[in-house]
Amino acid sequence: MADSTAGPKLPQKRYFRQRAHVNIFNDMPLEYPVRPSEQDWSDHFPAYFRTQQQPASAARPLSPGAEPQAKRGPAGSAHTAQPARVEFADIGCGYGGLLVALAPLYPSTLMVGMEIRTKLVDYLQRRIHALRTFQHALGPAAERVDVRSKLRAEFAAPDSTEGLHDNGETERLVPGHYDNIAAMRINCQKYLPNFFEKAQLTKLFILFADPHFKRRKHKARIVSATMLAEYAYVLRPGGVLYTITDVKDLADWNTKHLDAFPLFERIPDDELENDPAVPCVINSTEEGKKVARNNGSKYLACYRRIEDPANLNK
Amino acid sequence: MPYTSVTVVEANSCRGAIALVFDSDFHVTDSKGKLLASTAADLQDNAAAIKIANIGKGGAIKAAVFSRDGSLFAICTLDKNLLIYETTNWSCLLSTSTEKRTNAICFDPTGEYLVTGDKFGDSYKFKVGLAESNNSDTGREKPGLVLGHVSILCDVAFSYCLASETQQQYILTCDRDEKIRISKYPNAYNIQAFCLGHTEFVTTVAPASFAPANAVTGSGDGTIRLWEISTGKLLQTVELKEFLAKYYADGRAVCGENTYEDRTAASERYGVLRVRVCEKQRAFVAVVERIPAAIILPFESKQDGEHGVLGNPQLVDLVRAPTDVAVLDDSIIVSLAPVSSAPQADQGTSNDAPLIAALRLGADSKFVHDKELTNALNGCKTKEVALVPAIGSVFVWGNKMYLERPKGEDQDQDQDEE
Repeated sequence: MADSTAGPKLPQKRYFRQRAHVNIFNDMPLEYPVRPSEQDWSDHFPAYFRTQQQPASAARPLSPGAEPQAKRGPAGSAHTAQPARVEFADIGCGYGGLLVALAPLYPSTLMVGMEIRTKLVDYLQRRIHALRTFQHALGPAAERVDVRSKLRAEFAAPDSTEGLHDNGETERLVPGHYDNIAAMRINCQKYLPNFFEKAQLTKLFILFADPHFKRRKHKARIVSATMLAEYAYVLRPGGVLYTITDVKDLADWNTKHLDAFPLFERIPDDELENDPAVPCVINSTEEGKKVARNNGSKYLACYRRIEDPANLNK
Repeated sequence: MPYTSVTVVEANSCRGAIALVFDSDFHVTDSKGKLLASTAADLQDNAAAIKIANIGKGGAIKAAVFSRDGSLFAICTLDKNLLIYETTNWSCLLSTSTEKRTNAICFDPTGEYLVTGDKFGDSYKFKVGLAESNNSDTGREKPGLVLGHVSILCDVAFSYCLASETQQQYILTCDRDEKIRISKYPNAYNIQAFCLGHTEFVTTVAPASFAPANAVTGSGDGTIRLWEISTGKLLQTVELKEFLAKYYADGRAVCGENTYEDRTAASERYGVLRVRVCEKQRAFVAVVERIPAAIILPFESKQDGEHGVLGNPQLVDLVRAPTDVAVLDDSIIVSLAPVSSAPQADQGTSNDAPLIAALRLGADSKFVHDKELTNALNGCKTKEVALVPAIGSVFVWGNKMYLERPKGEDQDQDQDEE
């Protein structure tokens, strides 16, 4: 964070374009831990995890609303009662619009965006770094954002979301200061259990996924009968899986598989009205804004992870 | 002319039978090595052996398995055929083909379904039943999707323990991406745990009835590992190099050459081919690519609810490197790799080289060579061929070769290009 005096800059998307499709079955030189306990999160969340060399006070959040739950060393070396852990995951986070929008809403919840396309991960990591640098440079006396009213305004007029605040707050303080979001390159369909323990996550987002229209590519879809088992594994009972797409075929496919999957239960629309994450899911991603600009339809479907019905019968 | 090698061995103690798979054929013998039935019975003098109807499509057999009670036997072939036989008169109960190539098969504990693991990462179950009539598949249950990995499935097995909440067994599936997944069965949508710790492809998983809470796995990372099934917790790692390095040191194990087929095994590596269970001896037996030995790992139970451990291994030297291993009561049967072109002592000339080595339990509860069974099993001749095909290293498909795979070489046809 030393370069804050040098004038941080937000990266520009146009230098980080990459075609939308990646073959998830190919071997790729990805980095992933052998098991979740060996994942070093300190690079991603320096305010929450100590590195071995770093003293604890390296980058402390500014406001009390964003105190980390606990600090610990990497690889489970400390025995703190409640170590910080990632609870939200955005699968295929793209340019990270959702994370930037959610970050101040859940300022003490760690969330990670996972993306397989290198350039987008690079973009989002720079973006988050720049946002944090802006925030930490502002100082405690700066103006604070009323996140909920801002969000309500955006939801009421989604077409007006192309403003400056769209890229994250650089001039006003936001709860959490973007210290709670991170982006990483992973192939979620292969390595999700390498990063997350069973029942670790409380929210999982699958927004505007690659539709993979060809039938022989259907196994590559993010939602499939077999992948749902892994999402159910990392989500704790009560946790929520959010899906949204502008492709009707994919929406039907998603709901067909999710409805049939015993560990997920559709959340009725009226219940979603009280969920602060839902407006972000609908409006804050780059893909979601594009669809809104083109007056396209968006199909939202949210599911709750439930206990195995087979257990309850016993 | 030399005889083609045995690539897969499978045995069942309940039935007292040993199956030897060579190319697209297999022999079945009794526990003494006397031929009972074969798809290539005409190769033998023994007229009493049952001729098993061959599939006739010529694809090499990839895997073979008996059901737990030995009443059923199944094979899958490289050309995607799946066959189930009953083991009394060897009539075929099911002959079908699969969409993707099946790598591993296992009957579920009831023997009601045959469960597969395929190259696309999916596992299907096929109902065991009467043979399909040629032009009608009505009334037959369609194969059901059990679970799927986004990776090649290498092995599939069933636990001997039950999940406490559902009283269901676990199905154990291991893949090319270092993972072993433990799911409830038949409710495989509910993943109990992942066993994470291997650093290369996991080739084999072995649950044992004497250690129902545990499973033992073998991998291309040169380790055999002991796990707790219900939590996926790694309990023990056996580094094979510690006691197998001597085979490379004295030249009995030979590294691959610097050809594409061999270069990923060109260093001293230890790729576990199979781990099997010696139920009566409460031990596991493993064979490792290029290492001419059977590795017997005793399982030592502990009191007071503590986890058992794998004890010091016993090594029984073999004349050549193994291809597979199976266990029948007190016998261990190892199939041997083809005679290599590299000059080696005692491996026999290519024409009379033994294809099988059999071990039995000796007086001091150590395994020793069983000459009688070895001779009997080698008496069941395989096909004569002009040149025995070499067996590719597991590292060729198992390695993540983004850096060393040359462009255009070995493009996997089942994988979707983009």
